[in-house]
Amino acid sequence: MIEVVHVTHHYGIRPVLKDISLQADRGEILALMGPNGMGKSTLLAVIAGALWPVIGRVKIDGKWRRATPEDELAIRRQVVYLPAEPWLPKDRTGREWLLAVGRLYSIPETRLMDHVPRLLSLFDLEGKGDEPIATYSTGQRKKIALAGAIVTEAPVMLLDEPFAGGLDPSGILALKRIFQKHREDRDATVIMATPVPELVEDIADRIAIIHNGELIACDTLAGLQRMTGKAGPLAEVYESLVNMGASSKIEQYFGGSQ
Amino acid sequence: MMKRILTRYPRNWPYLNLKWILICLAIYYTIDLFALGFAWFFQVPIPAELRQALQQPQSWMLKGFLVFMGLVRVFAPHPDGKTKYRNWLKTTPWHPGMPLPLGPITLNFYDLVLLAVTGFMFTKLGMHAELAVLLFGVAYTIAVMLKLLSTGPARIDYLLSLGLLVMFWALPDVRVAALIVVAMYPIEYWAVRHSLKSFPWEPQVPKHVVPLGWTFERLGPEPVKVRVPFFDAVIVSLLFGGSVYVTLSKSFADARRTTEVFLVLAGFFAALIRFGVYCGGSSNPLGLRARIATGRLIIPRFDQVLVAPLLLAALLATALVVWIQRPVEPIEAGTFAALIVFLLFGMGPSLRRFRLTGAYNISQLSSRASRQRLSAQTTSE
Repeated sequence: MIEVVHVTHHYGIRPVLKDISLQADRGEILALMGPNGMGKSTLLAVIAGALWPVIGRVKIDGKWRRATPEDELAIRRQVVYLPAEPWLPKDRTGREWLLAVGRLYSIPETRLMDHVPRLLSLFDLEGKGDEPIATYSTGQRKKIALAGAIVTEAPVMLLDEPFAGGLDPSGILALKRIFQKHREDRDATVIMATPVPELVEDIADRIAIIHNGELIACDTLAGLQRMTGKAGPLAEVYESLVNMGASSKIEQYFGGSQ
Repeated sequence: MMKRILTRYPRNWPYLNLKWILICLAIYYTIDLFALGFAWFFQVPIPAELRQALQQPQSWMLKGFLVFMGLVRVFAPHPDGKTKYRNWLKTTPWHPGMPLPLGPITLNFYDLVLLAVTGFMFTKLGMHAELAVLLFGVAYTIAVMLKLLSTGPARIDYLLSLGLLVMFWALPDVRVAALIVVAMYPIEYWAVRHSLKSFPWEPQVPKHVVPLGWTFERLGPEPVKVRVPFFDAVIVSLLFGGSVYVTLSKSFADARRTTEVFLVLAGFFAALIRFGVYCGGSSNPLGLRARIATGRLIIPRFDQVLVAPLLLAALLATALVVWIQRPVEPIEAGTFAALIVFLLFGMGPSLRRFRLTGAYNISQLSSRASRQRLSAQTTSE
């Protein structure tokens, strides 16, 4: 289980996260949503241990982040974090990199040898697997980065905009199925940040909505529908929660052009 | 045939490659032949000046040869560092206690012969015969130390370093220095035998040799690859301080100013390195402006990494004030050098502890997030 307890974070003196508390249970897919620049990535990075919150703490599986070296290492073995723009070793092949990442997480060699080709095939990278990452397209780099997160078999996956960055529809579909499978079979927890409601509507168990650094809602789709009084899809519910002026702005824009 | 003789014989002496000995002797006596030829051609006895001038390259060549042989005696037969040889040896029934196929790493009768011959040649040049033992022994010791680093027991290197330091202290008394080198040999013998017992020294191959990208490098289960235990930091700093003390005690007064410059530069770079290693990629969670604004002037779990560089800076400032007034004393220089190394490697928190429990932001991410946020704000404005 992941607990975020009263987290506040600043960049300089500008607050980015304001007293955020939430939790994600085992086997849950939690989507962090919100407009660009509102703190989703920052919150994910705080949970991942890449950022140290100015106030508040994060607890994973009953252990506080960065409390003791032993606890932190135990957490790191359980968690994989994929930022929106990961750095990949461009001079290495995708296969080499996947194997290295798997070994880092102590995945047995035989399982790796079986898993890596299947992952490459899943993301349509069989032909590119033995070529340097430098030759990959943007979408292919995104795919290999996602495969890197999956190959770790970590029970907690923290993914920043996993569906962005040029991922094609088959990649998106594959990723959604993987998340669902991990949740069902391995009780894995997935927290992903995305600004696009349509991409997570069918897989997220709960949706946390962050606006101006504050957590304004965290519930299931049904719960959010009740909260907003909207019965439509997540996009509509989300729109009513964070972009209340968006429709009128669009009307205003087209009205102004006539 | 000649090639075979040069590289193979004597059969039980392949590690002391006969080729090198013959080449050394050839060059050595070519110089003598030159002198004889000169005397024969001009029908005059060899002038004393010429004889003296020719002895100079001969002595340097002998010295170089002995250093070379001291190194080769360890590196040539040692299975570590020769992947093919090591892998082949693993497939054979060889086990510790049996002779190594490329010859022993420990010294034997043939080495004594070599030392006796070269010692005799040194006496012919008017030098101490013990110089041969000293040069060969020091080179051999250094080679053993290098090998022990990878095969273990690595901490024996501290003892051997101390031995070399004492040997250096004994100079210019070549006889005592050679005696110290000889006294160190039983330790080397034991260490080599002990290291062979752990053959094939399965290399501690890091789980990843491929660069992993910043998230995995910094947030993966192996955050820091290089660790300097406190014990090693203390011993290394004492040895370093000791070597500076011995060097300065042996040198003339005019070397003191050079030592001061060296120490000040070392202190400066040590502070810079310590700060760079800890803070490189790990940024302050709150900048100065934010600290003042929030009233959190000190963040102990981050600011702890500034203690060692600040202490180094203070040490440097004190030393500069003192040394401007008078030249450095050897004991001061040694203490200063030991403190530099200790503050660089031994002062807490360890890099591993800081990376795992410190209050820092990973710079790569915070700068990216800042940029992203800035661009989002710019766009929205």
